[in-house]
Amino acid sequence: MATSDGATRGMQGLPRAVKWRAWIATALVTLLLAGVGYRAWGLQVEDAETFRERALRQHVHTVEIPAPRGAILDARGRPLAVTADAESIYVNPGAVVDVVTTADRLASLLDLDPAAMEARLSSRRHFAWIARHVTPAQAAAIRAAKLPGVEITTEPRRWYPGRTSGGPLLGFAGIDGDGLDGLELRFDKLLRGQRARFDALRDARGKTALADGVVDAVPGATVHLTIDRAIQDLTDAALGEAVTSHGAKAGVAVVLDVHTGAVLAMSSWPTYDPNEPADAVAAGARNRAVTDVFEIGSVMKIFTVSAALDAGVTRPDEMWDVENGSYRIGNHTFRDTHHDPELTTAGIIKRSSNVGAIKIAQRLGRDRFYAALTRFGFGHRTGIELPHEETGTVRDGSRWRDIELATIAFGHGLTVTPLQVASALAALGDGGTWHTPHLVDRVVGADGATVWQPTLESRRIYEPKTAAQMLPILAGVFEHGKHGGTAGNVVVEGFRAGGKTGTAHKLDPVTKRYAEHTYLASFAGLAPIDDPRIAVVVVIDEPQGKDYFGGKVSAPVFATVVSQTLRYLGVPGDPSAPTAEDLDPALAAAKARADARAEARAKADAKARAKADDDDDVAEVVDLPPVSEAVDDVDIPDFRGASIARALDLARTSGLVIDVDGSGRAVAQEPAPGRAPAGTVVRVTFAAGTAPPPPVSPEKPR
Amino acid sequence: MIAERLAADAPARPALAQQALAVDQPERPYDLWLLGTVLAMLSLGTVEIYASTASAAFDKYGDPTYFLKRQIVFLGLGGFAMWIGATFDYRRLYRLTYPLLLLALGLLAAVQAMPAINGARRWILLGPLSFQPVELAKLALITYLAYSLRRKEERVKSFTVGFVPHLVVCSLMMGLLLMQPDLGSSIILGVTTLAMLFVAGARISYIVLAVLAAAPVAYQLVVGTPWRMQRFMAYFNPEAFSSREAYQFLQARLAIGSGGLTGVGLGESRQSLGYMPEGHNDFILAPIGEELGFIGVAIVLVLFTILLWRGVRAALGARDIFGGYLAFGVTMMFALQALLNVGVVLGVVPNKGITLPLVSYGGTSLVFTMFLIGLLLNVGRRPLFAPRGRSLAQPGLSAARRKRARVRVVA
Repeated sequence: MATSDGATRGMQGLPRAVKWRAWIATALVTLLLAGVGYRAWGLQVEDAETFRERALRQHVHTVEIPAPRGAILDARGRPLAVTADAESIYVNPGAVVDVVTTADRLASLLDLDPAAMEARLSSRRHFAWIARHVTPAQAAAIRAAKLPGVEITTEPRRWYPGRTSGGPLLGFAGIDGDGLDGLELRFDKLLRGQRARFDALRDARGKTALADGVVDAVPGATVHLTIDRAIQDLTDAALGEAVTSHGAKAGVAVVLDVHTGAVLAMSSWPTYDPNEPADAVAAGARNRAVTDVFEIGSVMKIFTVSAALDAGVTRPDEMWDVENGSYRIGNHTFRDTHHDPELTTAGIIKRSSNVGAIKIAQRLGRDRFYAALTRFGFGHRTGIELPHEETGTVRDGSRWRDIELATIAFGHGLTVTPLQVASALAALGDGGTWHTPHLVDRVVGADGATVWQPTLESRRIYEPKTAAQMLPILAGVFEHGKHGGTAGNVVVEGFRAGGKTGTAHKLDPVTKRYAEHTYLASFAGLAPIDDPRIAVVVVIDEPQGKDYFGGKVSAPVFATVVSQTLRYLGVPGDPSAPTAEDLDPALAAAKARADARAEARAKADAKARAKADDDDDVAEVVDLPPVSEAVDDVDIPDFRGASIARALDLARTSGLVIDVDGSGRAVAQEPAPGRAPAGTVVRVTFAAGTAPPPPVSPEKPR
Repeated sequence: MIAERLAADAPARPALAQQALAVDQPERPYDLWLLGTVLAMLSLGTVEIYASTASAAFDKYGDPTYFLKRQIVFLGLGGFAMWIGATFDYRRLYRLTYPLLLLALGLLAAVQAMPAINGARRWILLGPLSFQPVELAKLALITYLAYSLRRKEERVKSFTVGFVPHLVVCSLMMGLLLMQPDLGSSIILGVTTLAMLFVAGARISYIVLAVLAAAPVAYQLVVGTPWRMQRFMAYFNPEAFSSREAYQFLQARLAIGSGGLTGVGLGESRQSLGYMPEGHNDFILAPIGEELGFIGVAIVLVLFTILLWRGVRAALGARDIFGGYLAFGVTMMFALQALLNVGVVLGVVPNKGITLPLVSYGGTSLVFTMFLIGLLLNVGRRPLFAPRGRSLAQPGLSAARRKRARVRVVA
């Protein structure tokens, strides 16, 4: 075998030398394999930690599931703010096949800028929003377009069924469900709930692949308000009409329950629709009842006189020399609108005599007057659960100059919020007891437990005797006739009310002087005056035209609000109350027309509410005369099969108000589809797990 | 006398049987070590192919077993190819050397007329099937070298007769491969050729010379081709090319590194959630390293080492020189391919498009690879029959062996 020639070598296999070299080559390759094995050891055993961390960063991300935001309900459980699902469109740029075409399609379907869309689609990220909270029609169109990489998801969206009604009071929540203003801001923490957070694996395209131990989001708590949507609506309407018809800059109206301090309505003008809050800031819309301070003028005489009566320094029937309406202090002469030679204490309120108020304040003295104003709550926050509440400014009484004492007597030289006035006035209506004004009754967690309640305080700020004396004095303001009150021409339909007008010159912020022709027209009052239920304050800022007196501009709002609210609350009407016919016939005719419209709206509200609610308070409202001319009829759409979001949307566009009952898909509605007055409340019942909704074609007009 | 008896028993192939019996060679059993190693590699590969493609296959085809099913089909075809490789008379290749070589070169040239896939012309498309001529070229080149080295014997040491012709054939093939472009296979063929020449007895100086001559060509190839230059740069600074040239490598290294010593567990790979598009292919070691850890990688390396040693053992135990060189060439090529592939995945060498033989998702390449494995088994088995070549069929067995053989045949 060893000595083989060429021929036999073939059968011997490879020659020995070849075998040796083959083993050498094999050993060399084996060494190299061992070498890469060593490299693997280095990567996998020595550097494992580094790579493990890097891998975790790549694979694991935190997923957040937003909690459904809690609802805000009115005093009767009707929704003022609810959360329902809306559809949003996003893109996974990595999965987009044709960027340009996709961008063009998206842009045309959603009415967006194609260039910006293209930039978004070209991003290197895994996720980018295209449009959030799109309409069902848009979502359907996108779905039909079947664009690769473009996805549709549902997100919670905040809806405000009442639209502008109570807008600035409710505030609004942003697109990600953060409360940004009003009650939404103040109760954000409770409304927000607890979003679920967990770690999940994500694949290379950014999709969540796996998740262990998924936690459910804890839904937000429900905020129950003392606000009554019907009262809020009628107050909004009355205020809005007055502000617009007088060309005023702004307006505030507050309705308080005198016995509890509960706010029944709180209106501001300009208002906004929290469904579309973008224009709110531009319009300067805010909840002016607490955020704005005013030199409110003569309305403050109520408190000047109350303080004096309380201190026992005067009686309602004491006669005061009011100097024919002209009184000089230092080098300033104060004038009255009327030129009465002398007035009783009550008459000073009724005729709104500045001179009389000054004299009362002078007798009361700085210290007692200042102490009284402080006791009534001026210069302090009321403690209402709203953000940005102002204190108003009341300077330390011991440092008042003579002229300040004089001006403060008729409401200049101090600033107050409308809510402070309302709550101090409400105390007069409750026998002298002040209650913390509040508009949240309770906040109820998802588990049904009450998680928050306002801390309410009640304290006596007037002697009961003072309160009893003040009510007839305030009623005098509505006395008609030659020597009647400053609101003598105003009729509170069906009820006797009392109050005080105010017409203040506004301080010009530039010249720092009281401007000649900018006014603040206000009215504050109680009703029914014999046994007050509500306190109403109306402030209208800078009414234009020849009517700028509180008695002409704000008192009618007061009258409308009081009359409608008391009827709504089921307070029996007072047959002895003056009617429009008692007044000047021409004026009566004009007012009747205006009232007819307001009443028609109130009737519509009441009627709708009667349908919506159980019939416990219908009796008082059905006896109103039917008024049909002023109401526009609208179509009630068929809500059945619609999601809550879609139903709210439908209601919004058709001018209806809906009561949401249950969740899921709409299964029933009351009233049935057909014609109904605008603003009608439709109760829509929703249920989960019902038959699939009828297909919504994208072309269907909404 | 035994020959006559057997000849009567096997009338179908009288000539062959006569020669074989004239040689009187015993038949060995198949090398079970080699077979077991190969089966282990195929199993590991199939499992990891499934693990690393399930998610992507579901996304793309709606079926997580899409690649697994195809792999099983190719395993079936490969098994058949391996059986053929193990049982046919491999010495027939000796006569087929030049036709095979011409066919391979022809197909390598023809591939240039095919449409490019991912920027490379490597495939010949036949309806639903695709086939890479490089697989045939590997067989053709190794066959040619074995044929030539057996014929030239001692003249291998001569430069003009023993060295240049082999390099010319090899360079021609490498050139055609580079046109595809397929640098990885080109390198494998080149190194395999040099290894075979070295073993056959070519002077070291010639081999060094060949490598030196190839250096400027390689330099030109890298610097002159922008994407190769990019890959080369990416090798030195992967992080700077993390989303392009080095993406695969970085993701593979992340997978392997995060596997640690024992891995994250079979089927638990997170990198397979779409992060490694080639996780079943060239980078199959990455899911292995991630799921089975260093232990998995070590198993792969040990399996290849066993394959290498058993393959070389088969080569050196071969009764004929042609078979010996054939087996050595095939073994060396597998080992080098594994070395290069693992080197790429572990970041030891710059990225090439090289699969891990028997482990990576295969297609037709797996079928060819398994045929070559069959050939290895065949050579190692010392088949009973002998080629008809004059010089090969010579008796040369000791009396003792002849006796053993006779006993077996009679039994």
